[in-house]
Amino acid sequence: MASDLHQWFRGVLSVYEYGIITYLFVLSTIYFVLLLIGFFEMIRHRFAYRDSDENRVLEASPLVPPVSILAPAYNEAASICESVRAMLSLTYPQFEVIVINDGSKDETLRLLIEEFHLYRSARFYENTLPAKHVRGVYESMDPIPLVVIDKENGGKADALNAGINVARYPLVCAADCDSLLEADALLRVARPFLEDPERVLAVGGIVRVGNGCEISGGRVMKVDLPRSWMGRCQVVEYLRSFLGGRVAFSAFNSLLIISGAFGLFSKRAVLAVGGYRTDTVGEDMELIVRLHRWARTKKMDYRIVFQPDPVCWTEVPESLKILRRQRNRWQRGSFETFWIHRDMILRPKYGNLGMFSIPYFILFETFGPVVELAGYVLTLIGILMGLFDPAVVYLFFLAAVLYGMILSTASVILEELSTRRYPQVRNLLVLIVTSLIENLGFRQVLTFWRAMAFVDLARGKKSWGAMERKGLANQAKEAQQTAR
Amino acid sequence: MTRLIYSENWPRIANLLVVVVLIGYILSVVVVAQFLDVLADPFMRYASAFIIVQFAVLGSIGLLLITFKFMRVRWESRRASRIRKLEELVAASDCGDEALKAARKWPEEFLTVVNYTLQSIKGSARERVIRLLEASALYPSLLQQTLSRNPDRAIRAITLLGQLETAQSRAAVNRALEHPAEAIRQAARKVIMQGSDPEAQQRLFETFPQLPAWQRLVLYHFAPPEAALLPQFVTKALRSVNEMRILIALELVLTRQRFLPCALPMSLTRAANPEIRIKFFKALRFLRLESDPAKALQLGLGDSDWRVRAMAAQACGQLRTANLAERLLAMCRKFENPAEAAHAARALAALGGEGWLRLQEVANSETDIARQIATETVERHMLGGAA
Repeated sequence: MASDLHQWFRGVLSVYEYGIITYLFVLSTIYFVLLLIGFFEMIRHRFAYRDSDENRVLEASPLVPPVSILAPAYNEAASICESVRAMLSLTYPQFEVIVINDGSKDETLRLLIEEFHLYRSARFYENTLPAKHVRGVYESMDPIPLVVIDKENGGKADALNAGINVARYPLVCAADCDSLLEADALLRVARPFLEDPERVLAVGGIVRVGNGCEISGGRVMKVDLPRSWMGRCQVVEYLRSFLGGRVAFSAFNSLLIISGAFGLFSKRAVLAVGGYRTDTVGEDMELIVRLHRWARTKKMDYRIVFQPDPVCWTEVPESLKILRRQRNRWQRGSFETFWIHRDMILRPKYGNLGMFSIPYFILFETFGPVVELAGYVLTLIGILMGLFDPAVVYLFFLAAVLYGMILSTASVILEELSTRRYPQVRNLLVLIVTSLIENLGFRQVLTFWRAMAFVDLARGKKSWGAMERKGLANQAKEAQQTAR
Repeated sequence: MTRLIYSENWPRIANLLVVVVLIGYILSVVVVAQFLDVLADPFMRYASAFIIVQFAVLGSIGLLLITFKFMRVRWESRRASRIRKLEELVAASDCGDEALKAARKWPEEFLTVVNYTLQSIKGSARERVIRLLEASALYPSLLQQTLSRNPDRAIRAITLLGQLETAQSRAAVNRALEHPAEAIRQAARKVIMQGSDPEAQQRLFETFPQLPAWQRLVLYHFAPPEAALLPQFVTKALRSVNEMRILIALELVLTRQRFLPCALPMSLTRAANPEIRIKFFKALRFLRLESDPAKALQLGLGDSDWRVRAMAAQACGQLRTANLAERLLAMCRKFENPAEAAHAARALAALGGEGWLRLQEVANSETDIARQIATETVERHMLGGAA
């Protein structure tokens, strides 16, 4: 009897192990195809857009649609003034910066009032989208297009809804207060709206890691890699996600996420779908899926686009505690989004989105960490109980580790073949080394955290978790002081 | 390759290439698996082959990339020093022969330097550089390069030739309008727009309706401000029945943001396309209306589309049509659409006098939304902002 059970268990484990190996190979092949598509798309983009001259002239065009930049701020006293100054110095014909002070407990509002000479204005707005109580709207006495909304704390989605209520312009740009947009990023990201104003609903730009870059006056002056390996690993991750995945999904109009750090939306479309949902921590992804759903249900000819050249520099966490919180939130956000829109899965009515994009994300991105973690655990059990052929064990570890290495290296190669933002040979070498060592521990830790997010989901956790950040400019200053 | 990338079929070709690469990849796995016959289990054999192929492909691409990057960085540093030397030669007025010798030795760098120089200097120095370029052996090849398949080379040739304004250079630039690459055609259009060949510009204006919005918006900025061609084109387009041509004419006027001595037909206030009516009222202050503007504004304030009414209200403020103050006041009170009411309030503030006083009355006495809109406008006006 015991021998039968042993045999049965061994059989189950072997099937599972083979299943996981096949799963990893399928995932690896899909990634490979996405990277290839991304590569050809980037070639097309690079050849089609030679626009430095054009951007210069369009900076003064009264025909370019005006943009309201929405920047939610919660306890951002350390960097708020610098961030707002950077946003105000963007080159775009007509825009307004709307900072939403989401019930900060620190000096954020006072600093803004003093620095930008704000007065409590009588600006009219309607509560079109539901949002927490607005305590006051402030505008500047100086001739700068700055509006500050002071409201009760309600989370990022709630703050963005309040910002949309106050926004005056037809395009709204969701941006993070602690990120830096390149001077012409707004003009570049608005380009699809100019080219195809009737069809484009939303455009996302690329988010790059700003840790380690030289920053002055709210601008990235010199691109460099973070000093810590954790930061560098995230550079590789961001490259993989943006240049590989998003470019390819955008080519098939199946983009499922536009980063909350930098995205431009048609206000009309966002209002039509009811704005951001406040009951999920993945509000950016959920909004995009809802826009797709709305447009496809109405049988609209529409586009949601990813543009690889408008750059937003963001600060990534370089502490394990904060990184864990961030990844936990991302994982929960993605699961919540697909749970809300579960009836879109495998429905031909939703085209590529329902038949490929969403199933892919659920199978490989959302449940990937659970499958991978289960693989590690079962393999360990199998080894300890002597149930496995050593060759199968080696193969599993090779597949699990190598597939990650190969994909990371491929995305670094894609970056070098397409945008080439890292100027030195040293940068390229460090990135390649990082893409190899990232898979020897770092990725497994992330897999564990992401899998643990399901436990939090089961417990009903809804909070964001505090995201302590130093501010990119402050980091750069610290680095300079250390160098001295 | 350039032709392929610029062709309309590129998305399909790219997808085909993806399939071809994938098939190549699978074949490589199968071939490598044949050499791994020591592994009896087929699953293990193919899985190992899969890993080996992935490693080999990426490893070799990675190595090539690092090598090329290393070589490129060195090459760029050497090129930068050559450019510095050429800049010195081109800048010195007595080094013509030396510069020409250097041009023969380093043609790419010479053209780069000349390109930068012509864009940044004016007067006799510029003339001297142009003569230097014409005297160089590179000039005939530049004439050919406007049709080059290398987009960088073609765009540089077009930009350089566009500054020479000779018959040969104009012909070469005009030829580039037939290039298969859109970016190169657009570069040629920009150069023609900036140049002084009215016939080519006339032909280009006629192609505007076929161009995508982005390209048109860019070209508007390059339209020569003093050319007689512009008023001619705008006048003719505004009188046409083609909606696209009318929109283009209005967009041109709006881009310039300056008065243009062209007659604006009153009939456009009744155009079926609301975009035309919106742009009509936006452009009203930059053109000469054929009849009384107040009549057109009255029509605009009664339009069925709120966006047209809002733009008409804005134009009332810009043109100071005080006799429409009552109508604006009614709009501000009615607030069918907050944006429309806000434009009416701002127009009242801009009118001054009676309009301004009545707006303050609204701010003090009306119902909630009208009061809020009026208060915002009064506050903004008093603080010196754009009311």
